[in-house]
Amino acid sequence: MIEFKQVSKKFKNTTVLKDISFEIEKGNLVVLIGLSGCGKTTTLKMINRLIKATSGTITINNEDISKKDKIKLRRNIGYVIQQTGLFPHMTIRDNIEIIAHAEEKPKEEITKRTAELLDMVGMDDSFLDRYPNELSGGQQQRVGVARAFALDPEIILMDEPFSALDPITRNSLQEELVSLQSKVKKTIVFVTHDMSEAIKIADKICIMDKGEIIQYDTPENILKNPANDFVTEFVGKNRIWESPEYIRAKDIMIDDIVTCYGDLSLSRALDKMRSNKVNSLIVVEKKNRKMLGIVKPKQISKSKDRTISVEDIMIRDFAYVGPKDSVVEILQVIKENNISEIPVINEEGILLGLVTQSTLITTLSEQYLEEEEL
Amino acid sequence: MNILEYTLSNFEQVLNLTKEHILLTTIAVGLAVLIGVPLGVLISYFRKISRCVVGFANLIQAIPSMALLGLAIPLLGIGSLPAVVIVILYSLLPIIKNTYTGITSIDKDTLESAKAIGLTKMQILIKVRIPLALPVIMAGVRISSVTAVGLMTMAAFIGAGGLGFLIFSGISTTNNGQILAGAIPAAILALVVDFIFGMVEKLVTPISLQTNNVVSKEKVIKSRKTQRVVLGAIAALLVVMYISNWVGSLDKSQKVITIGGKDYTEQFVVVHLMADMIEDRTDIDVIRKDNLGGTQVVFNAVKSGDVDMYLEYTGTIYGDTLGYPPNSDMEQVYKISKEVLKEQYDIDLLKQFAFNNTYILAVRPDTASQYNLKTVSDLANVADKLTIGSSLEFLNRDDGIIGLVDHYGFSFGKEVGINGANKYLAIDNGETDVTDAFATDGLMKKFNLVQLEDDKNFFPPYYAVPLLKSGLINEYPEIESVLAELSEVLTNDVMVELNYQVDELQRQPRQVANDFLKEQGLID
Repeated sequence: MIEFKQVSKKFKNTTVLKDISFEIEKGNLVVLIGLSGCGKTTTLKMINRLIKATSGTITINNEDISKKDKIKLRRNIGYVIQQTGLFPHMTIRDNIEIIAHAEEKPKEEITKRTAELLDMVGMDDSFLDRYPNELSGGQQQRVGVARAFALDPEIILMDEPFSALDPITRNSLQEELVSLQSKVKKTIVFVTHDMSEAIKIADKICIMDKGEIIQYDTPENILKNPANDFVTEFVGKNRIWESPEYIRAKDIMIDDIVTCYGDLSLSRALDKMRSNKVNSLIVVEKKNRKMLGIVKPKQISKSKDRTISVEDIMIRDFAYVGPKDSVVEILQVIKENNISEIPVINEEGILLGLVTQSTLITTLSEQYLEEEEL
Repeated sequence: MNILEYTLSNFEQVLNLTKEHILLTTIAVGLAVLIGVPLGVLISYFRKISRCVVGFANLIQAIPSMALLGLAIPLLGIGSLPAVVIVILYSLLPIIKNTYTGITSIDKDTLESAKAIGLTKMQILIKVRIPLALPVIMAGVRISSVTAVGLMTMAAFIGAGGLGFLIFSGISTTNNGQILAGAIPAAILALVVDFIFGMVEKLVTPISLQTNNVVSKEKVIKSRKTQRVVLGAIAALLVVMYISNWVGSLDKSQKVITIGGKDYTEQFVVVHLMADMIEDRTDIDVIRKDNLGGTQVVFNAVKSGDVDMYLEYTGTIYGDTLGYPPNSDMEQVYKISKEVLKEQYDIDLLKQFAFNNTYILAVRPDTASQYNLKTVSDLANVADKLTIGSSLEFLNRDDGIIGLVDHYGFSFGKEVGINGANKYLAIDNGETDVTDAFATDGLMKKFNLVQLEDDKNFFPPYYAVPLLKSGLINEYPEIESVLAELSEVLTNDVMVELNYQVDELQRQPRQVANDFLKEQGLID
């Protein structure tokens, strides 16, 4: 766990960081993001003491880092920057092994570890004797990541590692980072100015502006509940459309649904539908609004006796979604079941709302309409 | 005598001097690297002192090398030491500057990444900074080395030998063959050094920084192998040269004296005359350091003990070294000089030689007949129409032009300072009208100049006299009688003839001296 306690940084007369405090939990991938000059890189570089705080303390596992040996501290923290971070005059092997050699680890162990690391980043040992300039940008960056993992550090710092890469390579490296992180569970602090990147990889995002933390939250919360106009502006109004998995049933469902109880007669049910201009009724339990089934005019018309209650003919095997299911999942369920509307119920089976075709159309069209308004 | 002829007939000498040149240069450059690179590294960490150090190196570079050489003699004496020291000083600047630039201009991100992954300052220096800066550092060493080869020719001026010996001897005796025999190997040496360091530069450049679309990695690796073999061979050759030089230095008898000489023909000849006599008559070995420089240089060398003896002139001691006013009494000049030198410096003067190499003034025959010049008094009447081209020393001495014009009461239309044989060339082609000359100068004969008689007895006596460093005569008393024998044979006429053989016939001073002594039956 990394903790910043009222940390400030001044360079001569300019204040780069204003008294920031936050925590990075163990095993989390936290993205520091903001405009250039917001202090994100300064914050990152304070963790391995490349930059010294003017005031305040930074602790790692409750130990003040300013009291630790600088070299030891850095060797226990991986560091990845843009491709220039590799030493151009050294082979890939030497680049990866340099710190292990500095630590005077046994030779066989180093060789074994290097093979593991290359494997981890999806490269083979044919690269070992090549020089960085013989590798593509993406390959160089993989080597950079491998080097950061060399001594199996608990913490990895990444300073815009993918920003110089082409979009396709960047994408695949982002994906690999996420999958790697799910396996190794390191504490990763990642600086970027790219919001899509942040949303894609982060467990938590720390949005910074002018040396202050504006919002420190999960990607979803930042998308849905921006702390202020700056965040809204920075995140971008339609950013959520880049990650539709964050648009959930509970966000778009209508909750004034026309329901009835199971004992309602069919004729009364038809009346209710007619008067409310709906083409289905959801049957719920009286006491807790637990959903029991759904009736449609089609079923009613099949029955000759209009005095029986709806619970005798209602569809009990209905399709539904949970409140946290995303738009993508809803669309899938609708498509699979060929239905026009879908109830949202929670784990206890209680009806929360309804997603209809028209709500979906409204939701999905929002991104385009808003763009036109601009 | 052309270069081929000269080189063939003096092959061994040219080879030895080239070897000497290589050894001196490699020592100087090697030491300059050992001093310059750490200094360059140091100032890249302490930027505050970088300006001082680079400024100092710049300053040294700005001082004319001859001046620096002159300044070094009182401190370091003559010979290899001051030559090497001065070449080191001159070589430092490019090495320091390039090291500093190389070390400090490494990509910021690379350095930060080195720091961030936990390398110590020392590790960053050794593993990152120096390897990346090495090509730039080597480029500096390359510049220094090529310059050093050229600069080392100056070493001959203070008796350190090297190819400069041939160049300066050739200039003094207007022997173009000899000049070229020194200059051409020096130039070739410089090119070879440039080539070698070019190779070293490539070898130390990381492979990754050499490859591009045209040059493949395999090609670089392949040419590296060749480069290694060539450089290895060169290194081995150098080691062999050093060892043979060292072994050679062991093989010397106990009794050795060094005879020095000034930088003109007569002095070259007398060094060999004295040396041959001593070596023939005694069991003493003589190191011959002719062509050391002017009076100050050689006298200081005797004072400091770098040189054991040389042949001085009484008038020079009396007027120049001791600073007495001009005096034309031969015996008085000798007696006072001998006493005062002994008293002040514990330096001994032996018996005066027979020849008096005093100053004279000389003109071309056409000038002599045009103005009907026979004496200096005749010259005084028309001197304002004439240009004198004289040696710098003569121009600035009380017993030279300054005293002369005062004594006769006239002044020259123009005074030009020209050193060495060039003043004869200047008067010969009409650029100057009058020149100073030594009474025994062979070039007088060569250029067919007319001597003007010193009718008012201005010029002091300049009888040749051996000047011995403190204590030498007690250590080697046998020298005295040997030189006394020589002193009687060397008259003005003999000296003019010997000088003439060197200057006009372009014979080697050593050969001329040796032939003469054999002819006279003085040596076997």
